[in-house]
Amino acid sequence: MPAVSHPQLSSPQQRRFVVVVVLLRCLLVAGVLMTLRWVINLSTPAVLLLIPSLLAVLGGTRIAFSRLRGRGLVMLVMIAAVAYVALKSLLLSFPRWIGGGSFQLLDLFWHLDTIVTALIITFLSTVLFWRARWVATAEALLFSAGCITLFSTHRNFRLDLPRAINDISWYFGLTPLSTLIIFAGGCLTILIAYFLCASSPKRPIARLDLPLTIFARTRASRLSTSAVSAIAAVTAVMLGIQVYRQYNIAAGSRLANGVGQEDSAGLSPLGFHSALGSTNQPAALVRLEGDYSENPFSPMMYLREGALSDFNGTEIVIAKEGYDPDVPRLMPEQAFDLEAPNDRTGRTEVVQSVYLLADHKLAFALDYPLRYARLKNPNPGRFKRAYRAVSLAPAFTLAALEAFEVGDPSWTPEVLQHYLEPHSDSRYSEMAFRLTEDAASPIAKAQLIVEYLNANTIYTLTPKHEVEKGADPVAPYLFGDMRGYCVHFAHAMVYMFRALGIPARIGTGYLTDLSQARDGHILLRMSDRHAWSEIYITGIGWVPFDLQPQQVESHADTEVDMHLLEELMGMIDPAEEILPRPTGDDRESEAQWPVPSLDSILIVIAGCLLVLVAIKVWFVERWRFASSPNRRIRWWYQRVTLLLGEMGMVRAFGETRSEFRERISRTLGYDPLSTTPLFLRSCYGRSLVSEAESRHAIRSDRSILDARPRWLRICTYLSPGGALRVLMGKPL
Amino acid sequence: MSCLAKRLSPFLLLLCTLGVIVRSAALHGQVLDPFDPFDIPQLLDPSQNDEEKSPDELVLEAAFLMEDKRLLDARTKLLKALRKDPAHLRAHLMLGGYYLVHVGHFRLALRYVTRAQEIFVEQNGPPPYTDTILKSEHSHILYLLSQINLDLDKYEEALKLLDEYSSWGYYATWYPASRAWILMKLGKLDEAIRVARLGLLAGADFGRTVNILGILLSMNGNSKEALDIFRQAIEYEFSQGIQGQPATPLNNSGEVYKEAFLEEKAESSWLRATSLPDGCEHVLPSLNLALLYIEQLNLSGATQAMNNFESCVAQYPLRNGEEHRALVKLARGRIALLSGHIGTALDALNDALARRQWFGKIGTNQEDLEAAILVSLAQANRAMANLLDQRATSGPLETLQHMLQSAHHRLAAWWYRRRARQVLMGRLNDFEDLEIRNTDSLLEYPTLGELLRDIPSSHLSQRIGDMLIRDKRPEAAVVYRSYLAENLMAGGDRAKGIELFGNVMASLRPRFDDLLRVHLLLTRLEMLSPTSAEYQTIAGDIFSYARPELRSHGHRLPVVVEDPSGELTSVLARSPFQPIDSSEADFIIKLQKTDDSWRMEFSSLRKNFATVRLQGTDLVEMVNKLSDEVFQLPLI
Repeated sequence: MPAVSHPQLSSPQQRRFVVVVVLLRCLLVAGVLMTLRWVINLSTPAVLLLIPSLLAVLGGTRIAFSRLRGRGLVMLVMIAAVAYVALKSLLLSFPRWIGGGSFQLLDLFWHLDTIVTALIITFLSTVLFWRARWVATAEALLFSAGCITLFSTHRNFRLDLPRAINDISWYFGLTPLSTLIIFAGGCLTILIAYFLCASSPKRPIARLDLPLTIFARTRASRLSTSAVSAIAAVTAVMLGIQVYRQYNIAAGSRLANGVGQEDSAGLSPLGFHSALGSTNQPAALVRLEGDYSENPFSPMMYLREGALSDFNGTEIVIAKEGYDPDVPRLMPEQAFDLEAPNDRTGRTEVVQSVYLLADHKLAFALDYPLRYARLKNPNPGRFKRAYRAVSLAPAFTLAALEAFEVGDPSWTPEVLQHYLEPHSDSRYSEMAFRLTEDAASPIAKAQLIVEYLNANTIYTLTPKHEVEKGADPVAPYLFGDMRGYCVHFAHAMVYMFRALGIPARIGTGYLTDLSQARDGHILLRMSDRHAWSEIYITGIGWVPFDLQPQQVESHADTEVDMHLLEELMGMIDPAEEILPRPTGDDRESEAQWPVPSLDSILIVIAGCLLVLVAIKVWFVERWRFASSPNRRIRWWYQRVTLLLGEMGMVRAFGETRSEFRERISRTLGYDPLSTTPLFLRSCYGRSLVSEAESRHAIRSDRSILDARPRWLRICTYLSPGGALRVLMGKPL
Repeated sequence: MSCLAKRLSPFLLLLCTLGVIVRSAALHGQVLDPFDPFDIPQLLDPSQNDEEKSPDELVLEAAFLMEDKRLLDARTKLLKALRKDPAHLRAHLMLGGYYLVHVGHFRLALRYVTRAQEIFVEQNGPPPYTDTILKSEHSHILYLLSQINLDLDKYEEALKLLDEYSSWGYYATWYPASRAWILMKLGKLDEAIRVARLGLLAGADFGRTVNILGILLSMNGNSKEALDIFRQAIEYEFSQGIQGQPATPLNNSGEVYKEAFLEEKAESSWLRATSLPDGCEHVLPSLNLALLYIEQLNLSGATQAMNNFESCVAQYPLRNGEEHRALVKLARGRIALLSGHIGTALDALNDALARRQWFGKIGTNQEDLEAAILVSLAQANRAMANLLDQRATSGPLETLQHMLQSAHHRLAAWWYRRRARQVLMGRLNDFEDLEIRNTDSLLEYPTLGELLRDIPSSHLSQRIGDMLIRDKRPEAAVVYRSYLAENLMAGGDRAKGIELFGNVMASLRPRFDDLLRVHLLLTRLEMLSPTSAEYQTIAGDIFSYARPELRSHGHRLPVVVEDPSGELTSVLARSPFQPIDSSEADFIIKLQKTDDSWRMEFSSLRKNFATVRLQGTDLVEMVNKLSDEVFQLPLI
């Protein structure tokens, strides 16, 4: 441990402080080494790595407080390094000494290289830490840079990277975003704690010719630094809330592949600006309860959640009630039962169990759903809800569709017009007619359009079209650069189909690749959210007509996490149970006892802090509103003592105001309490303070106080600690 | 897998059918004739709701559905049976078998079979059993458990279960082969050979036992006897007709041929194996074939081999290929790397590293695969760094960006090499894979010298010397000497290295050692000045063999530039082309300016290379495009 004889370690308090900082530093070094070991897969055993490094922290501290100068230190390190290299070279030069052609020793030396490197870096940085004040700042910066690098894999909304984030989120039942925020908060806390300790005025420094701390001039107290950290924490929390909100809005509404979860008539869940945000975040586990060999879209499968058929002049939106009756638009916990039709041409019954991993406003299933029934959640820690859907799924062959007509003879003219309502821009119909000149049947025409778009469209997540408010967001794609994603494709196709007299609408939900399924279990991700066009074929119903562009500029496609899928498969108990329909009481009881979210807790804390800051500001600024010079001088004096209190300078028990003034003047080297005599006179004197006296005294005090660094003034001004003191009745 | 399926399915079907018929008869008080096939449809009334059926009926239906390959329907019936009777033994057993054979989800299989074992003991008490049916069922459970543990790479557990199996006096013809295989995985080769030989004498399943014996003998260095044994196994399996599985011994014999450097015979064996129905779905013959073609720089053949394999596996709807994805990605990554598609190679190899692979049924293990992937990843990162260094840029910001990315990839390459060496030396018995063994190693031996460059020459010489005494294969000796030559040329006694390089080059075989030849030439190129005549000759030779490798190793192709405008030379400074002043160069770049665009032409005097013509307005973009056109091979 440090030499007691060093002048900086004369008091027991300072020695204790050194012990605390050494411990904290050991923790930091251990954390950094373990993180590095995990991130770059360092195969050196943790113990072998940690023990020398922690010893280096202790040794570095000891050497720092010794008489060894910088030159001597460099020599020491160099001698040690050269000795190691020489020994290594010697041993490796004579292989026969060390067991012939064995490589074991080489392996050992590679581990030793790592250990020695870690040891030297830790040792040198520790010595420097104690001898130069800038090292703490440099370390804090390096630490921040490391954190940024570690989390930079999350760019472009890939919140599930690295895999550890996903694993930890699953283990604790959190979203990847929450895990990220918690990690970032933890890192920030460590950073602030370390930085505060390292820059504390009580921290000894091994070089006597250097000023002690960054607070050397003002000698700010622990309280004022805690005020800085509180403000930093509040700022971080507020920023975190903002980021959280933004990501949530992005992920939950419009930016999950451009397909959100809006379910109100007249609105659209689709976004035209960008399909970024297509994360690998698991959305649901779907289990097929039987073979579905008739799937005409194999290996792809469409799971419909909603449908859009109402053209509002700009885009296609959700139609009012009465249209799209095949789409139940029910919440996942709502039961639903339709009578199965007798005519099942081109359809087959498929049962699916859906286990939701993310919140969904609407239930989804293969079209057409006949029944939804709630399932008992097999693992509430993992799954949000579970339900079983029975669907009359497509079982036709795509080749046979050409012979069919489009539309439903039972539709009223109004309904038919609804599904045929064309776009006002005549270019859509012109293009549609031009592309389908050679085709006779409606289906053949539709297929020609699909073929054309497949060949000429460029799939991109970021089309970057500049569209004015109220303008058509699809035209820049179809009549422009042909770059877009599913939302653009679906709209363009529906406009052209309708122009040809083919009833069409947009389906939304999930499109999944069954070749990534296992045992009929499909892990849906947010990146599987999709929008597609549908045509009504007589006798068969709504059939997806979708694009698969041949040119891809950017794509969010990632492979399914099979580890996760296997884990989830193991959680579904065979003894699953269908629950009765929920009653109204269930819903109310759920609504009465909401679980406070992290979001709301943070908002309450932030609100309290803001109130405290407001109170503080009032006490600091009220002297401006004083009605008399007497009161003004009293309030001014209280203002100054309040600000001094933020710097830890409070009147001690039994200390008179004059003694307090003297002490403060001695400590700070200037006199911020020059108004003390006037204050005493205003309180206890016989004569009142005049207007001129009060103004003069305040002016001279202000010039002294304004000489402090700006950041310190801001911190002491905004720190909520003073408000707490006032509220707790402490005398000013 | 399919072997196990074939063995399990009839057994389970028979067991279930008999069990259900007898039980239903007892329940309904009906007298059913078990030999009357017309009684069964009465039990399997499709119009009847599943809710009204008994668990036994559901299990029986599931057995028929499985036979009919309606696997998900069968699985659902079994789950329904379990919902009705959570202690239904046969439903558990069938689900365990289903997850083991058809899905490959071994942990789930283990859960169901372990539960089946508990139910069995609850219902019948602890062993030993005297009843023949009980003995049969109990032995079957133990067999399933041992297979699952083997698949989960729990070899000790699997052996314990086999010990328990034999301790109750059970015996089956599969037993010696299974036991020998597990012993092999535990590294007990001699004991495994003894078990297999005794098994053959005791009438064990001939095909399986002979096959494992062949593998064991080959691992023990007795290649000649191994080949003889495999020949018997192949003949036997072919004699079994459609029940036979000749692909496995064919693949194994191919591996032995490869180890004996009889590449043509190896290729023939693997081609035969992959053309058989039971061989096309197994990754190993296709993988071996692809790796063989890679060594011969036949990249289209290698791609085709992997394409064929994946097309074959796509026939099985319930399996998504997860169990072999790491191996497939490794092969794809290596093909992409040698084809000059470095980004694709990095993606594939990173994916291979992230994938889990079960090793119970293949000869290699986790460390072998990890080391092989790490070596290839190091090469891919090195290639990417070189590619970025030789990318023309349009401004200093882009140049800086490329430099930073390049530094990152170089650091990654160094780090992966270091990790690979640590795995090979630390976890793989002092780099035992340095001795060429294609049976259990996935290393790319022709390019392994790159990994050995950082080892002190004295150390490597000592080791290679020992290996040359021990390993009598002349072709292997050439490879070992090439490692030493590369090591010496890269940092040791260069003169000695060059001398050894000359010797090795003279001993290389055409076609079979093409990758090794290119790799050595690339090493030699590092020692030469790009303007020297020898550099130009060697670069031209490499261009003919594997032109992407020139760029991947950071070398530049000497070209004569015909550019009246003089603007091209500065752009070529950051490109894989080295302008030279020579009238005898094999490669020419011509640049012409038309009205408002440039026309660029790259031509070669070498055979098998078509002239590349480009037109554009941005010279930087054109040079980069030309680099890609020249130094990339198409990926099929």
